[in-house]
Amino acid sequence: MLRLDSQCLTPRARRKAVYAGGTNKSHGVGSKSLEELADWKLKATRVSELTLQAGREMQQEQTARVEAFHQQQSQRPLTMARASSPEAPDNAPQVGVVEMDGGRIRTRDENGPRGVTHPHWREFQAGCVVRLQSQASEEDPRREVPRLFLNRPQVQKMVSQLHRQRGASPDDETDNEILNESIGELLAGEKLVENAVDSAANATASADTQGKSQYARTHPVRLMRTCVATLAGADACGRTLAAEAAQRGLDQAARKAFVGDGQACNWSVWQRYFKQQGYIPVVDFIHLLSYVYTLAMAVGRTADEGWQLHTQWVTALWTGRAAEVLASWQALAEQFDIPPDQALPDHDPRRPIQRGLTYLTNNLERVDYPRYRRLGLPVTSTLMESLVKEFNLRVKGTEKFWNDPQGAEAILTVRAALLSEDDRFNAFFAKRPGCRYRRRQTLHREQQLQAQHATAP
Amino acid sequence: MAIKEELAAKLARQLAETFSEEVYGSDGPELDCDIDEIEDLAVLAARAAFDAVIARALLLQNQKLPDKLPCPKCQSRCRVQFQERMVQGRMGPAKIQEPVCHCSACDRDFFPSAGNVAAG
Repeated sequence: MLRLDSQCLTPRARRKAVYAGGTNKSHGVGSKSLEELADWKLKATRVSELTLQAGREMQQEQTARVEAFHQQQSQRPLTMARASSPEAPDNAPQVGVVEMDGGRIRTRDENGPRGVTHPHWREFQAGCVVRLQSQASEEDPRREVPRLFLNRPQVQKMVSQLHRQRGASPDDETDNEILNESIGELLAGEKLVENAVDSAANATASADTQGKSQYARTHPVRLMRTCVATLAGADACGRTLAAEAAQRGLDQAARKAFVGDGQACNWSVWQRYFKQQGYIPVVDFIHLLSYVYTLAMAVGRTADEGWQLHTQWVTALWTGRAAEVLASWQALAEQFDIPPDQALPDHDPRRPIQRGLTYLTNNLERVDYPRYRRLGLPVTSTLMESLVKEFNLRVKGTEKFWNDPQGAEAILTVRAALLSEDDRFNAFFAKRPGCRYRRRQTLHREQQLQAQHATAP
Repeated sequence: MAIKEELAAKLARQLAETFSEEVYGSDGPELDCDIDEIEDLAVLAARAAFDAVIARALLLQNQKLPDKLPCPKCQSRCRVQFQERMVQGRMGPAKIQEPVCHCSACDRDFFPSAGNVAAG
């Protein structure tokens, strides 16, 4: 079986071209990489054409798979748990985690004339399905707050970056790029918490005459990650993630969580697709911390007093005393006469209190961090933050505009396949059928190849 | 597959050694011959071998095809012919003989070795 089509490429050669287009910073760089690394001269426009075509085909395949999965689920009684996918591996993971977040991509009108017509930003939703290994324990393995969260300059830096992210204007490219870099640096993998806890543990250890840390390295270890991304909105992303989770056997995991920031759309997805399967909802601790810091600084009469409040509240939240923090914030709201049902303007000095109070009230059931740590579940969305950064490496950049929606959707799909660790990228090309018919342009391509063949040294 | 790979590697090695001796003579290259030059020659040989292996293997495979194959649209049986085609592979272009049928009922060519129908 030759599996050829109009493009005059063997399936393996096609895979190489799409890999170059999906991995390098641009199609142009991909073309240069192919020439340098594979001695293959392929124009950037061809790399682009092949990459986006593969993206569209992958997306069609994914849509069909997801729809078939949900169709099958819809025939089951509502009270029944989701059926395991026939494709799910036999070994259910110890811990399964689904995380979801958004990113932004610059786009242009699809059918406009040559060049960039109507440049605009589009929000894309990305999610990952991760198999983890960790130990559950009776005792909280990390009772003490990681030192990083009590390190004033570090917290200031982290919070200002998160605030810039929330308030950044869509055209503020520089801010976004800086933020992505910094978030990546700060939140890369579980290293942030892990390192902070390790540092804290080391500090304790050095003070300890026995020289042994009371903290074992019990943070969850990532075994395998698959991911999805789409422009079609949070619900479409959640729908795909649900099929993905079932396919990866996550629904059968002994312990499982859905981690996200406080955005309502994340929790609608959890409610609709994951709650019934027993996924524990977890609000990212770092996002919560940013609200705590802002509120504390707004309330404190001096910066030192604000920092003291931050330390006190962060410690309380880390140790599972969220209700206590909520009560003190409610008391503050009363003291400052904050209306419960009317949003204050952004310039109002009481706004941080209102925002913090709303955030904690809405997420109170998702901030039981000692329980999550005992279950060996992650308490931050660092896996997702670093994944968004990996998407951005390819899809974002100055003067980079994708056709809205097809071009953007295609590159996100290719990128997701390349970032998934289940070999789906290679599997796609191994299964991709050829075409029984040819287009006219084939002849022209064949002539080009013929000339190349004739002039080969 | 492992045995086939082992045999392929052994044969290719023998052929490559012969090739090297043919090109450089039994004494080997001169002392001033640069490694880049030798490497370029090796790559050229590998590319030529790539083309030749694919072309020959497909030529032999084609002989196993039946004389006639059904048209994917109308199912009428059409005579299998072969046409030369250039394709780009991992290591460069390769010239192959591709089976092609012409359905006179549909007045259309079709390529039976393409596999299932996909966007082309």
